Amino acid sequence: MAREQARKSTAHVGRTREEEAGGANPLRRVSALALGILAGIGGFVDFGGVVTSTQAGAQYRYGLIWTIVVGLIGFAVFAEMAGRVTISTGRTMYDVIRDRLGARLALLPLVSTTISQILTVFVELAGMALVAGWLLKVSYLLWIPLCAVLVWAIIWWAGFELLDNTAALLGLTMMVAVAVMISTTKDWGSLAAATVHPTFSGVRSPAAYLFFVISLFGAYMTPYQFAFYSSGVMEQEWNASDFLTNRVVAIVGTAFGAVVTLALMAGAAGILFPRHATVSTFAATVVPASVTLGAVGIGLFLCGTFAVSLGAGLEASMSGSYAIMQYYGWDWGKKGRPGKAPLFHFVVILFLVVGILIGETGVNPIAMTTFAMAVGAVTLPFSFIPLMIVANDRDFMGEQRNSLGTNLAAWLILALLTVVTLTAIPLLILSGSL
Amino acid sequence: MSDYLDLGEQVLDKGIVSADGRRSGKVDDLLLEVDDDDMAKPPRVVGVLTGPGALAEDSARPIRMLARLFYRLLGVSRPEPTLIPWNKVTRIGVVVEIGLDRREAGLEVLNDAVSRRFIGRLPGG
Repeated sequence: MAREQARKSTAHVGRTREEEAGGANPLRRVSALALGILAGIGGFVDFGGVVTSTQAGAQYRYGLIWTIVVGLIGFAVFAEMAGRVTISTGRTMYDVIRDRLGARLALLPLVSTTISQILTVFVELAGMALVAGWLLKVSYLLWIPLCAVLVWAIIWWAGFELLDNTAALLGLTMMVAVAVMISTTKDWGSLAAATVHPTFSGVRSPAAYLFFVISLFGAYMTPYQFAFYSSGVMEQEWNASDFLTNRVVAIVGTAFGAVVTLALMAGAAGILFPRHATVSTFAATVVPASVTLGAVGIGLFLCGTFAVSLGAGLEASMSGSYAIMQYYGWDWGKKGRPGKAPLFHFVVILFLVVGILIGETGVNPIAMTTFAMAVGAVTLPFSFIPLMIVANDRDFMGEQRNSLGTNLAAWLILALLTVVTLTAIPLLILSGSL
Repeated sequence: MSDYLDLGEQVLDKGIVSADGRRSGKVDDLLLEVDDDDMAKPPRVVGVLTGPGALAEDSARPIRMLARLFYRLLGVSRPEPTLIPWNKVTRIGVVVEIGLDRREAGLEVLNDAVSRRFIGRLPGG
């Protein structure tokens, strides 16, 4: 009884300023949409997405296009859930999770997501560095630390809104992939059919196929983006009038990302698959754009790849720090000078430093990217299940708890993720590729 | 029963917000006082514990050592949890509000250390 009252009486912490200022303003809706698109690009399409979708199209033609639909639903369902939990409880994801599960059990989502976030930071740094290395013909190993400094400088000096909108705008050049798809695709019928109908022709090793499925899921639904979205909702002080905005943003952002992903896969299927080309270097990912659109295609593709990697790199290093700060209850966020939240900025720097160190080991960045995305997918249930527990808790959520439809979709996605992961690991060990 | 407070549910693991309105850690642990001579007497809440090592305190020795080492590396010379007396807790809701500024409450130790050792050395920090 008292608990319920406590929740109600103070459920508006962190949102009162907005309400006093007179409710919603239209500019905030625009920036809300930008948050969604950024989350969509940065999450659904990041360097991991560029690599894995191109590889998938090159190797299996349309055989893995069905994964996009699953990823689209999964991303939208869990992003919306993370946003709704934050709006209703007035607290961010990892904050509520610790409250609900206790400090010890909540370490499981925190640690697993942190591992994935570290690898993701490396992946995005590698993406930026490979583009820079391509343009300036200098080893990417030199560029990795420089790109890390760029990410750090933006987080250190730029405001959240600026950061939000710039990366979202630049990421739009990734639409070049759509042009590639349109000009290379001849058989639209089988492309459309492949979105809902998995085909297994050309699958020689089931283990390798399943590993691809896992990497793709990890690339669509990278764990960091849910923490990022939840924190963005908090930072922009959304309130009870924003449940609809939350839903729209989650869907629009995801749809944008899904279209680009589909285009990348279809473009690779049109150009690389007939040539039996495998994508083991960055240069191979550029081929579809360069064959179809020449120098302009290369330019747009490089710009887009750099932008989505930068966007995702910013998000991943920030939300890595967000999750830890929110677990421990320390200051987080980009409001105010860095000196106001020294721990937040310190942890951001740690993530970037570890990202640099992984890069400087000289590991193959493309192979590492595929691996990192797979690790992301394996860690997803550890964050999704606690999120669902909170989102179904009447004490925390009241009327805004999960609907039956949301739960059904969420469980289906979770079940699929778990089954694919549990099947793939023994297969990979047996086939000697792990 | 309306005055009943469930410490585990309503206090433990909640964020602490200081009097100056800043997020200042979590309620990592609670300190209770029991009268040894009269066990029938209900325990008294001395205060909430937060900060360096408060979470690791109940863990196995290697984890405690590791946590201690980590905080030392961050620049905290004596990593110890901070006790916030129960009479300084002003409100319990989504967060636990206390009637002390962060510095008064002794909750700036970690921030100060990291600022001194790392962040303060960077331009604009």
